[in-house]
Amino acid sequence: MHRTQDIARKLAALQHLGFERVADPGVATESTRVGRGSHMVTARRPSMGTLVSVSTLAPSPARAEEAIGRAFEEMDRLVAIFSRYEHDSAISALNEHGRLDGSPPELAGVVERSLVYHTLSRGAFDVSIAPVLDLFVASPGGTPTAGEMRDALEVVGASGVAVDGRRVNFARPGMRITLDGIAKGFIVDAIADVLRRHKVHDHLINAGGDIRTSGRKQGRRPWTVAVQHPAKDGSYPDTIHLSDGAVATSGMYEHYFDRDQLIHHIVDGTTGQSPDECASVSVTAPTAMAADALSTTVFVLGPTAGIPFVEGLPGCECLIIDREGRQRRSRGWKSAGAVTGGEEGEV
Amino acid sequence: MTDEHTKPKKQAQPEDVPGASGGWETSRRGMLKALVSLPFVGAFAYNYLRKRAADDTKKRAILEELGVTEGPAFIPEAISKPPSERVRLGIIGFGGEGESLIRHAGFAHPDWVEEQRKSAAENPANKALEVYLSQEDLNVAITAVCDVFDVRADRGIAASQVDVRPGGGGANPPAKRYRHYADLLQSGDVDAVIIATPDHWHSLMTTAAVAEGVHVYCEKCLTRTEEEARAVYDAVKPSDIVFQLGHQNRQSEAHNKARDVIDANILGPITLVEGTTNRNTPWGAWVWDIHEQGNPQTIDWDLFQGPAPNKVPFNLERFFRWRCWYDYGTGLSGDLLSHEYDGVNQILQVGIPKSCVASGGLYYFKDGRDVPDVFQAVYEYPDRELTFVYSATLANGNYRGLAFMGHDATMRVSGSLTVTADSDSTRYKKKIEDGVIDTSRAMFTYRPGFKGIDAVTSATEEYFVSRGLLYTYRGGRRVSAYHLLIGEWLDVIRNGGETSCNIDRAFEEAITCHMATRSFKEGRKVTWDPTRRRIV
Repeated sequence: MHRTQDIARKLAALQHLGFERVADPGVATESTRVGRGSHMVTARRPSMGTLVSVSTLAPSPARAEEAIGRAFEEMDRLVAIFSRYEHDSAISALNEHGRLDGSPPELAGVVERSLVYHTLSRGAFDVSIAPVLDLFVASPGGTPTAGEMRDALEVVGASGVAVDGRRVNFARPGMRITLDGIAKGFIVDAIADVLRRHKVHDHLINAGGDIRTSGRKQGRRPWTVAVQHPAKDGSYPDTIHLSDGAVATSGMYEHYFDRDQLIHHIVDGTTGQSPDECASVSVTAPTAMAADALSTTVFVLGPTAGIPFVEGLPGCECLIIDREGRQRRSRGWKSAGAVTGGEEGEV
Repeated sequence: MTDEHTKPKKQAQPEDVPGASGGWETSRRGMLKALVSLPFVGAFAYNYLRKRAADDTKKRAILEELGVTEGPAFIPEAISKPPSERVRLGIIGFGGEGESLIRHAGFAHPDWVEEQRKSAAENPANKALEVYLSQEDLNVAITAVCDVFDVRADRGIAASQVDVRPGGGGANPPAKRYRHYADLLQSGDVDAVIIATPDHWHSLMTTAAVAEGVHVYCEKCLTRTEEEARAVYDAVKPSDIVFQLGHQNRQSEAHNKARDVIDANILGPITLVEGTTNRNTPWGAWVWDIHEQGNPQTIDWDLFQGPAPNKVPFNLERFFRWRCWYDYGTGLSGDLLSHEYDGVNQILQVGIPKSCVASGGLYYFKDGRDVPDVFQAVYEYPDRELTFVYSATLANGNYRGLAFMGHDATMRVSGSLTVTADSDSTRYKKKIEDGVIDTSRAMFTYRPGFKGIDAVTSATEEYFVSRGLLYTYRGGRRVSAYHLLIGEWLDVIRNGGETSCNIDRAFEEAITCHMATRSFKEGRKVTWDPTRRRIV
């Protein structure tokens, strides 16, 4: 009994990981001169259940800080739209009423794009899974009955979501959506857009592992991103170079609901179980939104279907680490090498 | 973050999706609109639906069509002008530390260059030479060298004219050797000087440099005694020279991140900080090599002793292992407690403590030294409601690190940084109960030591994310902390501003260390009188 209650509690907690708004965010900013007339300005802020960092290389720290500040403002605005846990958010209104006329264009746009991924993935990516997730939370002991699950699945299916301009409709009563698997990427891209509008072209944005890069870092070298090892043993099984692109990772190694570590936060709604082939999936794509959505999609599809799926998408590649630690990569994944240990600086 | 799930029974064939049931489902027109309005996604869809088995060539073609390239898309703006003036640099004390500092200023000894070149050929993982050559050219010239040991002075002169230099700079004229530091400072050959001698000389050399208007980079500990610290402070503070104490931790990324953690109040009220030193080798206990050419003919012993309180006959151990005697330094206080304290002061800005009690003994290295090899000091900061404990042994290697203990979490800082929630935290009580925060694991980690990695991609983690911060050393480039510290000093000399470890921070550190030394030697609790600026 205690165990099932624990599962329910963790599920409830998990629901709040994705997109909570931080009431009193503090911004930590540092500016470091890294060369003649060149400054690395980095700012970090808790948001979206994680720490969001923006690092820029710019000739003027003031310009960079101004751009980052504007970008964080935009981030806050968008988080307020996409958070399911804010009662006054647009998505909450949509979920409550089953339709939303005059939706913020960003919400309608992301829903529309999520439907494209739903189609592309033949249903593997489905934002209408929210009722199933909510069911896990609401069920006594964290284990819904078969009947409850069947009922929940009746209202799942992104084909029942329609977007027409700024109007979003659900086909059936009881439908709800979550955009946590795509909106964070969208917001990262929005941050990048603000930086570019302020002519801060060299930057790296990291929202808890959803990363978007533009331009280059000091020395005109591409940014280097490491892939977290699922075992979190301090090593990185691979690194990649990114100049203009994005990478995101979905993994089963962050949150487990059970002590046997079999059920994690990516749940197959048809079985009530988690896909068990992949330990983590990292996807590179031209945009963070694409990388965000596709990493989840490939995780659900598994290596056999997921790798060909990604290989069919231009500008996209993937690295899968399975539960035995084996790596599988799409043909175009450009590895920059593993990092097996920390190298201490000369301090 | 909530991910999606798969539902094979509802997986739609592409042609099944649009227009199946009127306005409730995504229409074909809506789909096309979506594709048209989303260039990347539209391209994905087009490619996937029509040619699922697209090869790499096709993908590249589409990428080009979309204007997405894998190469650089941005040309940085023009580089500003280089530092306008070449700084003429002198070095006093070209021992191990002095040679290291000069190398990080861009002047490696030719033997070191050759050793590293051979080492890199045998082991590509050795990047020391690469890092050296990638350093920023600080636009300095080593014009003067002072050392009482002929061999080391000659090495300094050789380093000053090395032709393998960062930025491709050619060889400079050889530095001039001065036997006495006063001659070097008065020569007019130097704008700035690095002092890397034993501690007992720091005060006289620094105050003399101030008198000559020469900027000073002085290795820690600032001085050997409290009185000397006051003299240095009183000389430097009102002067126009730029002073930097040699604390490379000031440039540590982990320390900088630790300040972020403190600023965000992630730890809650911090009541106890523990700094530690654990070493278990003779080298770590200052049993350093005695140079085979060291003898009364090559070493000016009288000049070495100088202001040392006890004069003794020529002694190679004392010359090469000077940290083992109070005549020349302050043992663990000045050498290693100073590092820990500087980290604490950098992160918390605690200043000089109210009181100190220290104890310890010489329990293991009974080789004639008179400084303890086990040493503990307890500092009180009642105004901050904080205790700082320093605990050290040179006879055990159990690494304990530097820990900041708050009501809500503990932060450990070393080369990396971790924050672990406290199981009885008030702030995280709900999240701990909900399982969001696992108190058996760090909820925040930062590892700056992974060379060249700017970020880590990972599924979203716990509340505060364990990584996800940039792993840049400086702009993604590994740069030595020494180099940064010297570079900062030179930058302030040229452009004004404040060094990160200026005379105020140096004085705070020196007094803090001397409080521990006094307490240990006198076997009593000592306090700081801020009005009289005295340890009492």
